[in-house]
Amino acid sequence: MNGTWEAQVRRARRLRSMERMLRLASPIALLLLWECAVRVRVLDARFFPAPSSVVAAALGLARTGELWGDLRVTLLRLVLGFFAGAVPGIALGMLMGLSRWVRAVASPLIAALYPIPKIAVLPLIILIFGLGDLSKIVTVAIGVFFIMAINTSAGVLQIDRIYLDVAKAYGVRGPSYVREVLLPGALPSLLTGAKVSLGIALILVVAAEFLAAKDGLGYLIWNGWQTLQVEQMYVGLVIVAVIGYVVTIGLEEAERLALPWLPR
Amino acid sequence: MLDHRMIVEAVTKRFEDGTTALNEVSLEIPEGQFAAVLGPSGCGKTTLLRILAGLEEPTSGRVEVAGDGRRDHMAMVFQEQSIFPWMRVRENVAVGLHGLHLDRANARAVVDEQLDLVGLQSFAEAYPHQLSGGMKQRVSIARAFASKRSVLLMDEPFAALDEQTKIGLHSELLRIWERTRKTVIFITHGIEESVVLADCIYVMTARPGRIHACVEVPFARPRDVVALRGDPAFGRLVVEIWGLLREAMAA
Ligand SMILES: Nc1ncnc2c1ncn2[C@@H]1O[C@H](COP(=O)(O)OP(=O)(O)OP(=O)(O)O)[C@@H](O)[C@H]1O
Ligand SMILES: [Mg+2]
Repeated sequence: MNGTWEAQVRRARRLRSMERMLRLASPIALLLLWECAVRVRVLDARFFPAPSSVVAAALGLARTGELWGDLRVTLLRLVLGFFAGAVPGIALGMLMGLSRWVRAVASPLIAALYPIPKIAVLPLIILIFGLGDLSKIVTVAIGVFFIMAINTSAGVLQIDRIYLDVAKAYGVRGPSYVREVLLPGALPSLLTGAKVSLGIALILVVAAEFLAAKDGLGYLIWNGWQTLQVEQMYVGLVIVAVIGYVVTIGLEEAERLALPWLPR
Repeated sequence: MLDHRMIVEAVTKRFEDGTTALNEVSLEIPEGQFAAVLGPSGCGKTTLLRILAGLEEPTSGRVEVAGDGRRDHMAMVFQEQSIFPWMRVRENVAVGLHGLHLDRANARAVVDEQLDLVGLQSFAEAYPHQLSGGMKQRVSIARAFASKRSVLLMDEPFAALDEQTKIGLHSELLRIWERTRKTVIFITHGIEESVVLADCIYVMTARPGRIHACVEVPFARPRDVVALRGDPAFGRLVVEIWGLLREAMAA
């Protein structure tokens, strides 16, 4: 019943490609269902416009160039904010994982500051950094920073002691210790942190644009709501969802490439 | 030339939870000796080796090794799984080359040579999760050999291997040792293995471990790891050590 080895390998590959297909198909199926529900008037088009009319609104916005401008600034804020938070977050996480003293100083501060909703401090951030791009970038960076610090230090701490002993016994020190032992050992947890914090970053950038911006996807959504252009609001929401989707899929593929040593 | 003799003087190890693993252990291993350590499970053999390797501090007593305590002349083969899962087999072996400052081509040659020795040349590019337990153990042996360090600390290095591979590695180890005269401390549960390999066998008591006896192995070198087993004197020595172990368990 097992068949040949080739058959088994083919079967495993088929299962994997089916899994990928499902990942692509599930959002499409949801959209189709939605379209049908509006057409047969199960859903109220005033609150839930059909995907086809949302697409029409998107095409309109794209033609005027408004959409691309909003998409561009939001992505820019997202990416800059992510790196501005991730780099120091990973560095602090490494130091916390390495030194119990750094850990003793930093972990109570993180425990206290991490749960503060970043949006609640947005007024303060605007006071300090102004109404421009910088205040959004800083908001995103703060959110990303804590998550990356927490995940990196947890990743370093869960590296099996035996590997630290091996490093010590063979004189693996300094930069090679970080490059060959700490970083790869903490990488699975670090990448999980990157996935979580990119999601949070997206939420933060849109929320900050709601409250204090004249451009960006968050502004597009807010403006659509205030001017009762519900389709425009949906255009913004759907694009945010698509960004989230692409980022997650992209990171999962990146994970596969970055961790070839994990048994799957 | 460094003096690679190792001296352990009245070393006691008490862990934080109150377990006393070693009790006043003293031994002196001259440079170039192949010493085996036998003793019941949990008697502190690994603890003793970790103290020698500088991975653990003795609670009291004194340890003297060459090289002002930096211990970059000692290579350790750990008892448990110890190769890095995120490195290919080749990279794992190359960990032993740290501090040797070899150029790329030389490093590659050393790694290939050692992989050949433990029979893993065709797995050079594999990741550890693709290996069996015994193959992983052979990688860590190759890593220790690659380091060319003059003191080998081996903690049950062949325990996970089949008899044929084990005998093959015994003769390789002896061949290397006879050529380089490294100082070796070899922990094992195999009485025959210790008689085949060692100059001197230390028998430890049950926990807290002490040195119960020290047996000289008189067989001439170079030894033939298979033919030696047919020697009547070999059988007598095995029986003698067996008796000592039984005493040590009761002590
Ligand atoms: N870090 C530790 N903390 C507390 N107790 C420990 C620790 N390490 C070892 N021990 C205890 O010390 C004793 C000796 O352990 P050790 O690992 O040295 O034994 P061993 O002789 O190598 O045994 P085996 O032959 O089974 O490998 C054991 O009772 C063990 O429970
Ligand atoms: Mg042990």
